[in-house]
Amino acid sequence: MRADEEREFVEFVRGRLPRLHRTAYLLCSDAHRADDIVQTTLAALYVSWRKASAADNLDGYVHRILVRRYLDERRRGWSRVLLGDHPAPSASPGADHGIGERDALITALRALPKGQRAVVVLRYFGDLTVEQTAEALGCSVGNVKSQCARGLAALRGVLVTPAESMREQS
Amino acid sequence: MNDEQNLRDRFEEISVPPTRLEVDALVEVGRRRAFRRRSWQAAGGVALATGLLVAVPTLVIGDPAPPPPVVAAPTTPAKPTPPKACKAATLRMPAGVTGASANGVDPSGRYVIGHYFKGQDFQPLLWTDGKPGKLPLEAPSMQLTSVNVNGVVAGLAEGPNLQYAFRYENGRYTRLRTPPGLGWVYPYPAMNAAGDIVINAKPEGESSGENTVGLLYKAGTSAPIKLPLPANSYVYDITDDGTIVGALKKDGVNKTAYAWDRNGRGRELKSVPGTTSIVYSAEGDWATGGLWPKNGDATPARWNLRTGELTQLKTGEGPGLAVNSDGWVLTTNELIRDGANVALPTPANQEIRTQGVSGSGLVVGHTVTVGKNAITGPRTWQC
Repeated sequence: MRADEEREFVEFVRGRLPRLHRTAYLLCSDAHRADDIVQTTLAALYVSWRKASAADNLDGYVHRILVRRYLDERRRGWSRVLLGDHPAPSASPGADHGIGERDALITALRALPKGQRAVVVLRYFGDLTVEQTAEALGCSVGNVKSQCARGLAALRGVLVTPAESMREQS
Repeated sequence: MNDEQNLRDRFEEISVPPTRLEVDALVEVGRRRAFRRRSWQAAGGVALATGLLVAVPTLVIGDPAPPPPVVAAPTTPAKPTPPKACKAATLRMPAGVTGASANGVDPSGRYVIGHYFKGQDFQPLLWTDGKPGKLPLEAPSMQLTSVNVNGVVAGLAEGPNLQYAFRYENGRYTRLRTPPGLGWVYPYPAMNAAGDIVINAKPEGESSGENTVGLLYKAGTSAPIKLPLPANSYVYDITDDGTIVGALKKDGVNKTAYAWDRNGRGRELKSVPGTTSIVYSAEGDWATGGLWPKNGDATPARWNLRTGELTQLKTGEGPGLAVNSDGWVLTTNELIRDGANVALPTPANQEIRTQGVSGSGLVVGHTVTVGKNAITGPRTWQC
């Protein structure tokens, strides 16, 4: 890679790394595996940077690699190879939700089938359109829509806020 | 607020543990990957296990090297007879199964465990004397991770809201129980010749692993015994004499290779200053794992558990993942014997993924198409 191309790559990674890591974490619910997935994604991106950086939708391209790495990751056993199963530092509670509620959403996400989880995360965290999500996952637009609807229905139980819950009970 | 917006907001609020990745290190990983790809192409697609990776840079970078000086051939003592080359074979698959992988072998070489895939779910296979068989399913995904000389298998079952370790023996599965509050087992169960199984367990939903406990299941039992190990211990394998190997987290995040007896008496294994070390696998006197420099890829390492000697295997790439009773070490795509890489014959345009090595010298794994990672079939190499 030429020096100017590498500078562009570094700039891109600096801007996207936290978000990509968060996406991977939402997909796999595990900080170590999220790091593995992001690292293999960005290594693949580095190799194909010239082609990728010319793409119309670079973020969609990167998400496509990331999702495939996520889906392939268990088969390959790479988690031991890249980071040595290091535990990440402990998480701190979110600003508005405690650990219990955070874990409830993560646990609910983990209960979704992998493909459905990917659809939900790309659509509602990655902010990809239905079409971009379909492209990233290599499936039809209709499939994304139906998986979104099922995923939302499955997650509805943990999305209800305490206030809404009280209203529903009263 | 509608569900879609609510979910968007909640995703943003989730507290995610910070990434350990650093941009400079990522660039370095990318460079190495690009270099390996170029090297592979320059080598005409020949498997790199023969050491071509090391040789290529002098061929493609910089000025042409001057011709070597002509010198008289030194008289050297007769070389020992080199070991025989490894013989590759394809494992038979059950009718209707495609894309299977071989993931482990017992020390005798008689039993091989593997999988085919249904979506992302592991569908278990067991070869006995080369004859394939499908194991029954008790969960959507049954991943086999260890097999002993008696054909007893250990593994990990997964499904929606479901995850547990199991033993498969005499045609039936036994679910291995976990202590209250320690419902998440990881990474994989490991087993010795007697059938004793070890694995780590932590509270479900905890990503840091700070409350991890090592568990032992004695042969034939499903009740967990909490190993009396110090805090921050991680277990990865158990040898036939009951030695447990793994790592101990020190100074916050760094790990050091460790070995314990069942009473929890531990000893730190030798390491290299400035590196993190982990033992992943052990057999007989030998253990293997990796040494991680700060911001770099692992190199494989081998420890002699009896003498404590550490050998850094600089020929290999990534940590050692399996070892046999003669001290042969496997990484994800290489066999290292007597400190040197051993060529594993590989079909054109395919790469190998090695997974297990027996005391009889049988290496098992599978091949994938270059660049696509599509599994082309389970394979063995008799070395």
